[in-house]
Amino acid sequence: MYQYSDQERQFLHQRASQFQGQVTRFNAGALDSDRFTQLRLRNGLYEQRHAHMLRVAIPYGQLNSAQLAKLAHIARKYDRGYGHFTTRQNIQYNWPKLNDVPAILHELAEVDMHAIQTSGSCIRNITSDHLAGVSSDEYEDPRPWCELLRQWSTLHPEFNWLPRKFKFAVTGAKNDRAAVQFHDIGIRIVKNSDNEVRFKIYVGGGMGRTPVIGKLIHDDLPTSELLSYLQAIMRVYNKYGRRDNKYKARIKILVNALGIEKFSEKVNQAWAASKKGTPALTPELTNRQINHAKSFFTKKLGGDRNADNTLIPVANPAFMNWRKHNNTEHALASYVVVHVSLKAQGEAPGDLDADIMEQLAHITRDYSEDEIRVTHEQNLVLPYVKRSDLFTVWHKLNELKLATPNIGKLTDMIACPGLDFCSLANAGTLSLAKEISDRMADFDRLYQIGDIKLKMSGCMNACGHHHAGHIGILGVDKKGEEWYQLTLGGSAENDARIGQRLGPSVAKTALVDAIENIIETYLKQRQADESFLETVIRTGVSPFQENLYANHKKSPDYRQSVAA
Amino acid sequence: MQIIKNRQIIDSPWQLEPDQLDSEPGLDQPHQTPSVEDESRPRLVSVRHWLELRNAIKGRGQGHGDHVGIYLNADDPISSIVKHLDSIPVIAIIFGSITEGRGYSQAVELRQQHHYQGEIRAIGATVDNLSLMERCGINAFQLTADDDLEQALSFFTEIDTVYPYN
Ligand code: HEM
Ligand code: SF4
Repeated sequence: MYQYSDQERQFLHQRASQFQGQVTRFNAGALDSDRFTQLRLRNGLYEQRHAHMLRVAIPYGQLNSAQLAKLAHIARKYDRGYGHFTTRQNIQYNWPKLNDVPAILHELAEVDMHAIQTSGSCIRNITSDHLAGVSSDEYEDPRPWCELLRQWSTLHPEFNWLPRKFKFAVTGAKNDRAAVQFHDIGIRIVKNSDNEVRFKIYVGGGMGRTPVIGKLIHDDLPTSELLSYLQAIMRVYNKYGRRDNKYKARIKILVNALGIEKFSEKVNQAWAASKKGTPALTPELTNRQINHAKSFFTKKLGGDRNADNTLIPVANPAFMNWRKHNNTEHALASYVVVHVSLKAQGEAPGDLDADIMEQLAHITRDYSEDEIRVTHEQNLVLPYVKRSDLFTVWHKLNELKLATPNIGKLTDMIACPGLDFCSLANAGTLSLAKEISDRMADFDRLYQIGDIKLKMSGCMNACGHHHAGHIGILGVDKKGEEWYQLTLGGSAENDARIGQRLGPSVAKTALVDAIENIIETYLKQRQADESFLETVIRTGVSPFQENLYANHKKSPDYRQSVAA
Repeated sequence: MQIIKNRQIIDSPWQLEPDQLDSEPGLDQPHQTPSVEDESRPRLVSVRHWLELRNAIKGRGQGHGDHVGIYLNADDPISSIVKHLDSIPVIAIIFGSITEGRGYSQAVELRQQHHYQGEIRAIGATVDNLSLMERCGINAFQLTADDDLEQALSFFTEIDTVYPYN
């Protein structure tokens, strides 16, 4: 794990004190609210439906037990006893008081955490593969690179006032688990034929109201050039991105307006021009810097690595079931990756109670080499559980209701906060998530349906990634009522795809039936052991459409939805 | 007018003379057309006017033109002035609001890519951005009306650590 130097820790405290100063000036009327808004956004602080909302960065999703315990402490002391893990590897608190936030930031600084640039038109938290460093399909551990990017982008003097927010994601694995093609810049780390690390850079992906899949702009970038090339992209965006209309301000709009060739040409010009400059501002990464970053991520594993870590056989069907669905094989044979489901029946996806968080911090410390990860699917991962500890860990997680064996299944859905918390929402998501998880509570049925990704957003900003859901649900507002638009066939993995709209939106009362109907169609249509997504890709959406809307003709909600 | 230059409060004689073609938010003084004859008054003119003046005074020898600087709107490219940087004493960059970010890139291009040695002045700077601006090569700051000049100096050192890569 990355270790902060004393100087970096001091930097975080200075940043918190700086924010204290801004709050004081704002309260005294010495800072007008437009300016204060911009400054608080650079520290992750929003104003929402009921209260302020604070978003804390979890860089590339990685936490140690002290950090998780601190997050629990903050939830208890300054909030209402829980936190919400997001799809961007952040945690959000829904009820902090403005005047407490500087103190929260100081508390975070004590454990090397912060809320810098988690909102506002700047470079946001760098996200990554939640299996970084522990999966066997990896070319290169992305975390040192993420850390370098985090440092580079933190208070970057030139890029703190971009036309719009800017999101990076990085993966170093064969299978993309970081949705890199749905980010403003997505980076895939690969190895070339000489076994040297190279970057493939994708630009202009994103969700929101205009979903776009990122386009490849460089397919063989050498390591030393990473920052100088990214700087060139950022500079072109900063200069030419639209600032007159915030719905057209993301880099994807600029890339599409210019076309990728023209955009790439501008980037190459800016890149060449910057190389003529002084070295300080054309950052070339040296091997020393790269190796220094890497040195933090070579895990010193506790205990005897050669000890017998074979799994103790247990004749416990519930355990074996969990083992099958919530465990992933580790790159090291004596360890297992354990997924912690935050999708127990009836829970809001991504929410975690402070006391449970604290218990989980103990498990992290005692059973996972002091490391835990946040996934972009709003779950957590214990990346270093010894085989011999698996049963104990299951037992402990189970007691905390964190062992629901549904990873990757229908009830392991993503949902943004929606109407309950978000002032931009058109429709609720959390009550629906609960309804779906209640209706789909039968595990035999879940397993029969198999792997499926259901993703739900309360409005077209798409915080719940609905465009990338195998089943996507988008809340829309129809004359003050909550309705839902369904899409099928999206994917955020290697085969990044945007879901296709099924038809007229569906009333809230009809939504869970509609999902049942879609599942029915799938089970009827599927060949051999085809997954849901494979079936949708093969058949297209029409059988789903026909079945859904034919069936719904009988229901009053459907007639309304067609009329509306 | 008082401004901050190189972290000190100084009196600055430079006057902005907005081009009638500009409609930037920061530029609300009356429009004027620059005159070749009036060389006593240090002023900041648009790129277009600066190039016109330069042609008019060409050949008058050293010293002429020392009183004419340039201001850049956020969407002005610097390409037409890079050849002349040695003869521009001041380049002002207009920041229409706290969220205006293009001026930071203009400053970086001038300082780091073209090694501009003169004064780069941010017009419309806010105390909260002084440090970022300075790190981009801006060395003079004309603050917005809401900000207090005396207090402003302390904002340069609110945060004194930065990461080496940016
Ligand atoms: C509750 C307060 C929130 C507000 C006000 C908010 C606001 C927004 C807005 C306005 C956009 C669209 C940006 C654009 O298209 O340019 C957006 C996108 C996004 N947000 Fe949120 N959001 C909130 C919470 C969340 C949460 C809880 C998550 C994670 C679960 C999240 C993750 C994302 C993601 C992944 C995107 C799509 C990225 C993209 O636009 O390409 N946000 N958000
Ligand atoms: S998708 Fe819409 S409703 Fe959901 S969190 Fe984002 S902005 Fe709010």
